[in-house]
Amino acid sequence: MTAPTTVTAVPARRRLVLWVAAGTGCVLAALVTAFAFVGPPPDTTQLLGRPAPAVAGSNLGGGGRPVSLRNYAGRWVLVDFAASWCVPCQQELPKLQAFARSAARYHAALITVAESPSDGPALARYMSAHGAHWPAVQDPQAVVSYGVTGIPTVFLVDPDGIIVGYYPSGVSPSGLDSFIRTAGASGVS
Amino acid sequence: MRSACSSRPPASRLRRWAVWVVLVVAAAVALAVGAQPATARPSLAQRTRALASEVRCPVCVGETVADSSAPAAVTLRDDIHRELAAGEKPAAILAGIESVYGPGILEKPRATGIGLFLWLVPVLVALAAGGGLAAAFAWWGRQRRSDPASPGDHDLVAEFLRTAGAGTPRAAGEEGG
Repeated sequence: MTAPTTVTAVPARRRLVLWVAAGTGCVLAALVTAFAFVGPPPDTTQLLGRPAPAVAGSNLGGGGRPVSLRNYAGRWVLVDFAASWCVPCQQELPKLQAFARSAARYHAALITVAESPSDGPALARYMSAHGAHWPAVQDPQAVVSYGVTGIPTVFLVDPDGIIVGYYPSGVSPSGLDSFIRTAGASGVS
Repeated sequence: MRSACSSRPPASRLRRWAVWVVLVVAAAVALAVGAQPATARPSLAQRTRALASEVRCPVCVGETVADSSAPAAVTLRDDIHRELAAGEKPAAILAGIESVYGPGILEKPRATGIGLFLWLVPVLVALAAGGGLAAAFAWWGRQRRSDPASPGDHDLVAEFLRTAGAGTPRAAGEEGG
């Protein structure tokens, strides 16, 4: 009895549903595209080009002598955030040691900062056991001031105290060498 | 029944609208009351917690600085507490944290750039959904008011009534009972 109404109404409703679904799909696709291309690049930091925040503490592996980034003014400094239990940090240690060996040529230095205060002594022991003899400190404020979100994370500070390098997924000693040599040639150091 | 719907008296229509207005006003009042802070002058600890809950924990997943016990979150919480105690404005504190970690550190995206899009989309979706519902209700109302029976349907009913020999549907019902 109601067949004529049904026959004419269903296609119209289906068309409407199709249009709504297509429109919703287009909006979602546009959103996904926008956020995929507009989001921040993964390997950058807001701190590049800005003065390096303070790093200070007592040297965990060196009898508690005070260590401060300020005392390294005029030198290239690699600030490394790490933890003893972090396997990528352990894998990165030989690269940092290679950099430390060549760093003497251009008066560079390294400071390792424990990612967690409770891990400081263990990290110092690990470094000492593997022949890494540069200062290690625990400075929770530095972890926040450098915006560290994961470890290992390494920052390169130039002789003027400006952050010029950010390595959230590992350093390359040769890359650091050539970076510093190039920067030195252009008059940074 | 159709004629009753189409010729609804003005008083009945007014009552129906009054119910909707009361519902909307009650919902708005409930939201406004619920959004008010528990006390008129929150303590420093309450303000710290409120602001810390607007910052994502930088080393965790799905936790805010207010809830996380990660060392970085604890340090950030202490920083927020110290800066609030020093009289720093909450917006300035958030801006400082954002300048280090980037906009992704904030729980609520800023209403600028792509962040503005995030704020607008739910509003636009709600408006579209409301508009769609209004259009659907209007369309269904029109469908209900119009006679869904075709001329053929009317002929069939007339034919049935003639052949059944019943003068009125009531008489036919009495026969059946």
